[in-house]
Amino acid sequence: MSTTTITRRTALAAAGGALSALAMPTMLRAAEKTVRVGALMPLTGDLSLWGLPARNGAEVWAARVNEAGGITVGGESYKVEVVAFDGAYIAEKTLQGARSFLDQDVKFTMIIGGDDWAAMQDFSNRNKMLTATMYVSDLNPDSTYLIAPVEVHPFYFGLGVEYLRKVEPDLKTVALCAQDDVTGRSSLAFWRAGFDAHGFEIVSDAYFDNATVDFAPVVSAMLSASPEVVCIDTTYPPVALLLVEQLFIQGFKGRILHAGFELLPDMVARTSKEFMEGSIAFFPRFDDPGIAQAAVGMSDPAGFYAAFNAAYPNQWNNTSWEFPAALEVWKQGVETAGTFEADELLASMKANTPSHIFGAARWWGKDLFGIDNALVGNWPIVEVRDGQVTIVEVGDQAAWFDTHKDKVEARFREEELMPDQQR
Amino acid sequence: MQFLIETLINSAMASAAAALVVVGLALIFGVMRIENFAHGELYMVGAYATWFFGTSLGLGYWAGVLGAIAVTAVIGAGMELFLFRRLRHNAMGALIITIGVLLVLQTGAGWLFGVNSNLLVDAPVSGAVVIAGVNVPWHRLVVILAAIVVLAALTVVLKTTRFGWALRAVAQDKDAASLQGISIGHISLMAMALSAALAGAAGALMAPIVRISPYMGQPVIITAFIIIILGGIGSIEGAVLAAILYSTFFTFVSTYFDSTIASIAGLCLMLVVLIVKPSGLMGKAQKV
Repeated sequence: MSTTTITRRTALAAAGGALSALAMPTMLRAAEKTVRVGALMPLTGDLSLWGLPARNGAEVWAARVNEAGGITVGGESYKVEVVAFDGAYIAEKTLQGARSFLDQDVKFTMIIGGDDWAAMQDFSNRNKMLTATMYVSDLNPDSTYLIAPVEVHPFYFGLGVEYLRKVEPDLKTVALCAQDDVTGRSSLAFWRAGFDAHGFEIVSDAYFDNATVDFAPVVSAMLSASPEVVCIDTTYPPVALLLVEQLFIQGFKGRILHAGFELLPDMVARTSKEFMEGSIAFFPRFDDPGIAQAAVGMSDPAGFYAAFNAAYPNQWNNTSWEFPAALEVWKQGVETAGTFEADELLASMKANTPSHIFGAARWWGKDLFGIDNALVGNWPIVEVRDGQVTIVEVGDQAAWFDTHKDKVEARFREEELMPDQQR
Repeated sequence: MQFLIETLINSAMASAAAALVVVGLALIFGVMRIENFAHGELYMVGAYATWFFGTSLGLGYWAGVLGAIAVTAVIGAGMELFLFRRLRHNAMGALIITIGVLLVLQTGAGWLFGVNSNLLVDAPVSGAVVIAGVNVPWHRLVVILAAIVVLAALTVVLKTTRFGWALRAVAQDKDAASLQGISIGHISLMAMALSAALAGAAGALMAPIVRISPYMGQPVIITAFIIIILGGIGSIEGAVLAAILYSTFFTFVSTYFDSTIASIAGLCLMLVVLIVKPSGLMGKAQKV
């Protein structure tokens, strides 16, 4: 007969283990499985200004979701894990990241969009890799597994011009500029359509090379046409800062339009509050008193903002909330579909349209991109007031497009961006 | 007319900044026969050092400029002492080393300061002066003036001092200079420090105007090589002349057309010069 000897050490270890198990929160024990989502972003280089806050925002979102019990898919709870890869906005590295995500069984990939999607579309199709982009212009008849669930850049630009016309009925002329790349061309096409639709005359319209060092000549050329409004498109944040500074130095007096004004505090420091007053953009502050009314599709936006700032002080950016908002859409989708598999999930999301961060939305895109993979909802317009952006209106992007579709198509055709012109 | 004046002033500033960069590059090629691909990164280091000493440590812009010159001069001297000296008779090895230094400096800047390019250097004199109805920021005039002063001082040093004579002698014929008792090692060390300091000074002067990032040296080095090929490789006078011609041409084309066309036109200009005068504007043809 064998005897079992229980030593003091064994007894202590057993007691410790039992106590840990009892102390473990019920929710944590339930969410034992893990699902991975991937941030394939530029984490180095100029565009890390978008990529890093986006990755960090996804991390904060995942932590909050896990704290609340994870996500429930097919009756099982999952913790969400964010994996990141530095695509550096370089085709080869982006593709390398996509391969890495496939190896890690990542179920949902988030990218900035533009040149990085061009690099991975074929790979995504071959491997049914569900991906979210911020650039709706990435959509095309072959982008089967790409969705634009939050920002349908550049579609909100039309709302901005509509708002400008409403508050400034007498303005007539506008000058435009953008960097010469996919982002610049698609968004400038949309701005042009917006200005066409609301009766502005485009008096200067030029692209500048991405390697441009000194922006004084770019601004001189724009201002030589004496515009009343200057639109600096979706120029990358450091470039937008230099353009705004040049506009100030060269004596421009009027409203400036830009997608995001990411470096607004620096812009104000280098110009003045008065100079920036009235400038129009499209990304709200999450400590704006109106954010709860605008971001109805995101649970507790102010709480998310506070959690982000606690985890990553002074790193908040527009992309910090966009990727979490994309994850919210995906979460609704997988919980409703009961599966992570791309084909079934997409079919379910199309049948049961998820809520968009800014309210009700519909799947759209066939007219312009040949595929209905853009979740188009409302979008806020913000105006610079006393040195910071303030929500002034929330507009319906799809309704604007329906009204001005012909103008958008004409401008997209000019840039050879229509589905039948894709090479 | 106002637009023309504005473009001329922008051209003058672009010429001044380009001249400061290319003179150092031409100098080092003349003395050491090395195409220093890391020269653009020395320009980048100059901008970062200006931010670090001037803004981060709060010592002020001009202290930042001096810090930039000192840091880049030390890096340049270190490159000569520890890398190029061992490869004096291996031009290809030296060229590969410069690419290695380029990558080390780029990565080092990213590691030390982060890759977010929102570091700001404020100009020492804010505001603008009105010239013929055109607002010209004071700092642009500072860049033009500083370039004139630095290039004039360089000319004086090269033409009237023993160091300058020795440097020119080494550039003309290393063996003959050595036979005259000139220390090639010492002159190379000084030339490399001077060349790097010029790049650093250019970076420091341009820091309040351009965006500071680890990659800011790349477009600069491409432009610099176009300019020294135009001017005649190794010719300092040619480099200055070509910097003025190329920068003026580029600024006018980018203002009146766009900067993509300007980049293409700039390369075409270089090709035309190479076809018509393969040694460049002021270079000397070499017998093979």
